[in-house]
Amino acid sequence: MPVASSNFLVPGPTFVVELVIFLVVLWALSKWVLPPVNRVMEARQQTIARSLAEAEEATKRARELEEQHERILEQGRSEARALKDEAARVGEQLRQQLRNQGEEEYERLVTRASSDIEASARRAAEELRAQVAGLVVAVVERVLVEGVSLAGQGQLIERAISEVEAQAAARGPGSSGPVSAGTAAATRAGQ
Amino acid sequence: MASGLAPRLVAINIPVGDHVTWRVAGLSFDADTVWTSLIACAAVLGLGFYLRSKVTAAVPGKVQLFWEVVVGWVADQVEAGLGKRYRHVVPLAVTIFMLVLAANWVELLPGLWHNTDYLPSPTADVNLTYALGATVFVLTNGASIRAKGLGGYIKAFFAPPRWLAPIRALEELMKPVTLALRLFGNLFSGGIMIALLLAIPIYFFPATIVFSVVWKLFDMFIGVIQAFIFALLTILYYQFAVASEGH
Repeated sequence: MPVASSNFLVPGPTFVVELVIFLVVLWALSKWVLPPVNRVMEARQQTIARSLAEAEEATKRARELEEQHERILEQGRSEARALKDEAARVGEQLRQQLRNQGEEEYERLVTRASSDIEASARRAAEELRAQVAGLVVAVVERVLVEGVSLAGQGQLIERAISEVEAQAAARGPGSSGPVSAGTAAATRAGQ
Repeated sequence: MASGLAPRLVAINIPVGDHVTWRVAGLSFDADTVWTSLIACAAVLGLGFYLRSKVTAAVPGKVQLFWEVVVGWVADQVEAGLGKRYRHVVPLAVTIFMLVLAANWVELLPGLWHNTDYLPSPTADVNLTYALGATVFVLTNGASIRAKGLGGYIKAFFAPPRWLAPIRALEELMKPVTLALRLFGNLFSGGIMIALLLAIPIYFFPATIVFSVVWKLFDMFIGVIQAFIFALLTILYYQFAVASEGH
């Protein structure tokens, strides 16, 4: 091949060939290569944008769930507090009620005991009255039967009392013996 | 190779601006530039169509990732400087970046024809860089006329101070030339540097190999930077062209 040497700053006919080569590459890249590259780059950008949006959405959702969780926990805590307060209130009410019942029962028992004591005292007084009446009748009976001297007066009284006591002892405690004895003595004195 | 060593020990002869040529219909074409341009073109289109067959919206492979980084960067630049209305600038800037990068990296391949040490980059020939610059010039000025109308486009050159109008016209004309020559100069000098390093006499071995490897790695970096600058300036020139008032 011939080798030519010339002013290398001056373009020659090769310029046209180079221009054609450049324009062919430009045309081929514009038509066949760059559109798919742009397409996939845009698709990837969209995917990234979508992923970012999804991640943001997921973060938002997680935050909402956390808030909801916190709300539920707080609600549970306040319900537990309310239940505790209610339990304390009911307990106090029950204690008050039981104390009232106890006091009422005490009052009732005391009242009954008082009335029992009163009844027993009344009964004892009645028995005493009957015994005294019987004693008086017995003493009067002896005086009438045996006559009374000043010296024998003391002995007579002592004997009458012993008899009455023996009768009372023979009848047992709480019996109405002296009353019936007194009654019998009074009947006899009437005859 | 052995036969080539002897002359190097005494003198170096680095060809500058020489091309293997084809003569077609009386016209002389730089065959090496056309071939290496076609290699770069095949690399870009091969990667592009490979990507097209494997493209996925899920986890991208390495090739797709590379394309996505380039397209993403260009799209961001265009959107920030021009807005969504000028999204059609993205394929132009991406094509410029990819083709220039592939063309710059062609130098890493072993050479053919008259230069067996490395394959000269097609961007080390002004024909490709002028073609790119001319395309950018036509498209940016076309966009400017569309945006401002022909009257507005011409009036922009005569904005106060009016005496700057010739400077403005010259600046506009120089834009594609500077674009083209910046790229050409960097790659052309990179090629000369490789040739110089390879011309270091063999008794400095392994310095020759180390320097060559280090320089080629640096050249790869320059290749990326130059592709980046060309694409970025294209977007910026578009931005200036469609700006409502002056620059």
